[in-house]
Amino acid sequence: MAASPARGRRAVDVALFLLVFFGGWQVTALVVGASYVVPGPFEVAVRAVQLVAAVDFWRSIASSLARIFAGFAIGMAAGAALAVAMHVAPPLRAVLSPFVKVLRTTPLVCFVLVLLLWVGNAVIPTLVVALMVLPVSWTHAIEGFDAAAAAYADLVRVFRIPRLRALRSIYLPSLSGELLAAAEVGLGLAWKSGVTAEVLALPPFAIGTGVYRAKLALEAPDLFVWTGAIVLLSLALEAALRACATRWRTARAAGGEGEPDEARPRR
Amino acid sequence: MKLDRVDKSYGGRVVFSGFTLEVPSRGVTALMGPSGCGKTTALRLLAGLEEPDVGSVEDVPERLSMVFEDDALLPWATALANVELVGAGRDTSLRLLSELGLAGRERVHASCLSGGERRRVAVARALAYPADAFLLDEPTQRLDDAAAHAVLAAVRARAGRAPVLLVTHDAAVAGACDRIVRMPRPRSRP
Repeated sequence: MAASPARGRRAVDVALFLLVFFGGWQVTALVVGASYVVPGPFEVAVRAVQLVAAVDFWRSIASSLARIFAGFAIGMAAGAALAVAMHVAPPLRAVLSPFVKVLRTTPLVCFVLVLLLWVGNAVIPTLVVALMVLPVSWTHAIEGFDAAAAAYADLVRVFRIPRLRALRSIYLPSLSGELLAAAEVGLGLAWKSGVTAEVLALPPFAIGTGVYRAKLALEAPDLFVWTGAIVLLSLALEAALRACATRWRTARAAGGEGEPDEARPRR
Repeated sequence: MKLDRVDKSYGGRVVFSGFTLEVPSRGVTALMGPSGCGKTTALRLLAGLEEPDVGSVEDVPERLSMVFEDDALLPWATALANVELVGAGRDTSLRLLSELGLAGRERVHASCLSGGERRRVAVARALAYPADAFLLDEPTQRLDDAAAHAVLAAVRARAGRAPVLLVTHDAAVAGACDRIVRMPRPRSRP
């Protein structure tokens, strides 16, 4: 069966991209002429095979994934919980909102340097990721609460729906879409900030630590391999989350068979 | 229930001026009028969701029930959960949904119901709530004759001694009510 024209066009686009990318890379390496600055693609490929065969490489990836996911989960949960608390007790919003805004604007490096004074370097990436993701989760959750409160204000008021029931049946379920959107934004942020925090804090068995050591030893091929791993993992995680989000949205939109509206017969 | 010489405007547009409406303490009163004359506004004033600019709202019971203009269902909840939301028991909710022709659709999410089905769920929810007065905004909208008849029958059966004010554009529905009030044509802008 012949490939469709669209598929053929996509294959050509990918091939062109790879040709330009690797060709340009090789030309740049030849022009620079110093492999400790710009190693060629073949040199990086050889080093990649060596690193990937080492247990410590995979242990570093697994540890980084665990730290960053833990921070992501804590940040998402804390942001949502804070939004719930502010909805239940509105005075909290006036008191705590400025702190969340400070978190959002504080540079990552400041968090790392302060935390280095207080806690061990193994937990710093997790804490930093949580602090970076919390404002994202909170912002989406609080906007979700505000939108639901406005949309269902009349319903709650007329039927005198008790606060707890309104929270459980109306406001929390209405948040799910917002939190999914927050997760889509937060995951990329978590990954980048987590690896950066690892470079600064140097926990044992971490991608960021591998990057830093490669840089220190002027092992450019290693640096390129670690960078490639970071990019590929980031793309894979975002694709996985996007797939889950699409499945959830499709399932929510479906779930029953709607019938056409009943037309009122004209007299 | 009474709106006494009420003025209401929205951003310079006068909805009505010096409007008086008295709803008898028993029976079903239909409120009719051309589009934009303030029928929904009148319901919202009685429900306490809006305040009049001038005039007063009087003798409105503590516990009101309402069918809103836009259904106001929770799309992620089932038809049954939407009715139970107002504190109704499961048996009462199921019985009402069945009376309104929704037997077998109780577990379907509101977002997957047709427009007519959503309307009937909104009516079931309003009737499930133990109210002393009912304010129904176009309860038979998007319904065929049989479904509209079922709604009116359920309203009469459930409302009992409580007053019902029902907004409608449909002359047949209004004709089935005990009394018809026609609102004046909206005033044109100066």
